[in-house]
Amino acid sequence: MQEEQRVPRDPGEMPVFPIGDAGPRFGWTKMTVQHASTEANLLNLLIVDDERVVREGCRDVAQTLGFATFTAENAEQAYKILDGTSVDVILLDLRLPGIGGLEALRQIKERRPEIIVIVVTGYATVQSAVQAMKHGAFDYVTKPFNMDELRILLDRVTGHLKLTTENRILREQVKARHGFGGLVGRAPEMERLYRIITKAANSTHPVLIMGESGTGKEVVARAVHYTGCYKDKPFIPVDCGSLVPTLIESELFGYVKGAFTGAQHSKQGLLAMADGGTVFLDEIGELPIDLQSKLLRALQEKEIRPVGGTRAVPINVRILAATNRDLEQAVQQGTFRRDLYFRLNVLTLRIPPLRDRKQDIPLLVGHFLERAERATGFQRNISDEALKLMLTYEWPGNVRELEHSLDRACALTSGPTINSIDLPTTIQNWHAQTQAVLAPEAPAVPTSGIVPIAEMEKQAILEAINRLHGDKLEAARLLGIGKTTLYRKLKEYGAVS
Amino acid sequence: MAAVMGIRRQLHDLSNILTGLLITAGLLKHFVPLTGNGGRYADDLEEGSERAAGLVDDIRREIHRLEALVDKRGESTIVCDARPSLGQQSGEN
Repeated sequence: MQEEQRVPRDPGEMPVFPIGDAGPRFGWTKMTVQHASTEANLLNLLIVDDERVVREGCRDVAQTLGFATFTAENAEQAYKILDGTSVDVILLDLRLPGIGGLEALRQIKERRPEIIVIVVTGYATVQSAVQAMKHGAFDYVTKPFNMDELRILLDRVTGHLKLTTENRILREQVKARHGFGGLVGRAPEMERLYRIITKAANSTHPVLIMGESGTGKEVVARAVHYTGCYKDKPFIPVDCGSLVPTLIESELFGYVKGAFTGAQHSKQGLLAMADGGTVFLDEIGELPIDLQSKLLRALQEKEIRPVGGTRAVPINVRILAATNRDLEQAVQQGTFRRDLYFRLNVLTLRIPPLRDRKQDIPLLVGHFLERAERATGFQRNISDEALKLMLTYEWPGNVRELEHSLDRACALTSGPTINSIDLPTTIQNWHAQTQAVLAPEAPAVPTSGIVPIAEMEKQAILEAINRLHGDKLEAARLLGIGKTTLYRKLKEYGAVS
Repeated sequence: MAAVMGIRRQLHDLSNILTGLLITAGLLKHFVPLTGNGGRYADDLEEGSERAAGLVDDIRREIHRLEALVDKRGESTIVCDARPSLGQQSGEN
C-alpha cells in the first residue's frame, strides 16, 4: 500500500515530486504543462493493479491532472485503503491475484456505491466488459493504453463528478432556498414541520393536518404523499366543505346502478379508486356525522359499501385529513365523532400561521413573483416600502392572502416594480393603523439633500435582498459583506424578526 | 482451445508490459526535460510501444475471429481455417 500523493499546484505547472519509491521514477523538475487540468483537484483516485509499472505510471499521470492518488497491488490492499479514505474514483484491473477484479468491483460497489470505478481489462472481451458494467462500473479501458487515453478517461470522470456534485449542490440550494416539497419557508417552525413531514411520509398511518385557512394544508398533504412510499400512486383531494353531504358519500364510497335517480351506471368511489394511493380529505371537520361513522368503518374494516350496494369492496388507501377547526372542541360539542378523531389523529402536523413566521415573507414574495414571471414572462420586483408594509401586516388569510395580494398587485402595476399603492387597501390601512407604533423605526428622511451613509447602506442592503428575492446569502456575497454582518444590519433595521 | 487460452494469458502479460511502456514513454516525453538525443530516444520508445500495441490488437482480433469460427463450425475444423489466415497476416507484416 502506498502513501497518499497529494500535491498542491499552480495551474499549468508540473509539481516537483520527491525522488524515491513513493514518487515517480524520474527526477522531476518543474516545467510547464500545456494541458494539465486542475479540475480534479481534491479528487482521490485509487489505482488497483498488480503490475508495478502500470500502477505507478497511472499514478503519475493522474497526479498531472490534480488527483490525489493511492495505489494497491490487490483487492485486499484496496479494501484497507477504502476503509480509511474517502476515495472518489478507482482504476481497477480486472485480472488481480487473489480476489479477482470482478468480485472486487462487486464488493466495492456494495460497500461504497458512490465511488466511480473504471475497470481495466487485458482480455477486452465483450463479456467481461458487460459484466463489469452490470456490476456498476462507470467505464472500462482495454490494455494496452497510452498516457493520452488515460488522461482523456480521467478528464471525463472529473467532468462527470463535477456535474454530479453541481447537481447535488443545486438541488440542496433549491431545497434550502425555498423549503420542502412545494412549501416555502425557512423559519424554525417550518423546519420542524419539514422534519415531521419526512417522518409522516415514511409511515402508513393516517395524518391529521391542522392549520388556519390559507396556510397550505393541501400543499403539506401533497408533500407527505409525494415524498413517501405512496408517491407513484394517485393523490386524490376531496373538499368535504364544498360538497353537499349526499355528493360526498357517493364520491367517497361510489354507488351502484339505480342507487338513486340519475344513477344510470355504477361508479367506483374515490376511496377504492385510490388503489394504494392517498385520499386527502380537506375540511374533515365539515363531514356530516352520519358520514363520519361510515368513514370510520371504512378505515377500520378497510372496505367500503357503495351507495345502494350490498357487497363490500376492499380498499387500500392512506387517509390524510385536514381541518382549520378545533376538532377537540368539536368532539366535546358532539359535532365530530371522538373515535374518528382518534383514528385520524395518529400523526398530527400543525402548520404555523404566516404571522408567526414573518421572516419567510420575503422568500414567499420572491417565490410568487418568480411564478408570476414564469406565467406571464414579465419580471417584477417589489419596492422596499411595499415589502415593509407586507412585513408589518398580520395576514389573517395567511399564505393564500399573500399570494392573492401579489397576483392582484402584479395585475394592477404598470411597471416592473410593485409599490405600496398596488397592494390591497386592507394592507395599506393596516400600516396606517400601526404607523404610530412604528414611527420611531421609520427611516430618517434627509431634509438637507444629503443622504447619510448609514441610510445609503440600508437602501443598498434592502435593495439587494429585494432584487435577489430574499436570498440574503447571495446578497451578502454581492455586497461584499459577511452574512453575519448582513443579518446584524437587518436586525438593526427591524427587517427581520 | 487450450492453446488459445494460453495465448490469451500471454497477451495479457504483454498488454501489461506495453501499458507500462506506453505510459512511461508519454510521461518521459511530456514531463521530463530531455537534452541531446533524449527527445529522439523518448519518441522512438513511444513509437515502438505504439506499434507493439497495434500488433497486440491485431493478434487479439485474430483470436476473436478464431473463437467465432469455433462457435460456428466446431473445434475440429478450426485448424484448417485458422492457419492460412494467421500465415497471411504474418506475411503481410
